Amino acid sequence: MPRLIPPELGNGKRPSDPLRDRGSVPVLDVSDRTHELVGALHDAALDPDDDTSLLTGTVVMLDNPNPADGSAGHVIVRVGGSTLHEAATEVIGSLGAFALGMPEWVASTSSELADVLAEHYTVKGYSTCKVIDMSEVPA
Amino acid sequence: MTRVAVGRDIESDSLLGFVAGYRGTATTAPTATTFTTDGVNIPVNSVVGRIISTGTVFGVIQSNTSAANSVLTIDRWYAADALPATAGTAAATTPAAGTWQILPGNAPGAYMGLTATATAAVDGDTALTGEITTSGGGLIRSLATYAHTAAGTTTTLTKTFTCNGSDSLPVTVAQIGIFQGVVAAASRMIFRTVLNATMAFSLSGDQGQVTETVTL
Repeated sequence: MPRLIPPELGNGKRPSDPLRDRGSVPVLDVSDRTHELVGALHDAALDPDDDTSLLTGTVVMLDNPNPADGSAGHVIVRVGGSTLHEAATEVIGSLGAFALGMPEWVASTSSELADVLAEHYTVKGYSTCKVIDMSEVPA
Repeated sequence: MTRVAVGRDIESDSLLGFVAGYRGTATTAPTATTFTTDGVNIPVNSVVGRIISTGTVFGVIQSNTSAANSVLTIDRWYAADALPATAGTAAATTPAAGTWQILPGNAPGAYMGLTATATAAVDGDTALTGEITTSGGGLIRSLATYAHTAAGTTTTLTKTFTCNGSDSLPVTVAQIGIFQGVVAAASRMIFRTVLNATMAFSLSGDQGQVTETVTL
């Protein structure tokens, strides 16, 4: 699994901070703009009867300038039965199988998920990831 | 990862089984798990794993009889634009009798189930022994997130599981299964995989992520 964000460059991270927790879940690097959004919606994951907050069927497309497996073009992700927090960690975990670097753009049918991912992949002084519209995704 | 025997059948039909299907107009009302074709005789169990579409829903066929009016047994009814997130999600409404068709090719599978059982997988496995099915729990079978990139050799199914107060904790997950559908007692298994590291869930809110990487 490639390390998508060097720990010494992450938003507010210390070099010793883990990129994954003990359950091997990627740690979202969204300490600034989207942190509250993720936190609020994460609580919904504890309510098994609340499907309304799930992003099932959401499509995400991510730039992949440095593919890991000889592929070409962007990565296409279709979100399963997941909250915003779960979906974000799943996309990040998925991209780790395909990419050796970070995406420069992300597009999604969920603007909230796109915002979270763009912030995660934007590391001050190291990389920038912007949200683009689905219609702007290169063919 | 063990690609079990049934999984190979599913892969074969999904990739290459572009053969004629069936269609008709049913007059017998479907039930939650059966569909009577009314006037179409389908060779016994020849459409297992295929999709029957009727009205606004579809089902994944688990078996079929050969008779003047073949009867299909499905796992449940699904709405294509609202796939169930977990095994706890209610089935789509049972359709009324009407026009129907069975499409070529098997249904794909992206549902992931968990078990604490560490028993080694074998080729003939058709179920994930000890699958966690706790009602209302966060560790029950769930629709995983699919990822692929053009011309790539791999596809991933990734799921972050979040346990909740309904789960029986603590539990240490040792294996997963990938299934064609969401019904624990019915939907067919494609892969059974021993995790490279177990996942321990102790308290409500604990999370663990599994990525199943499949090379095609």
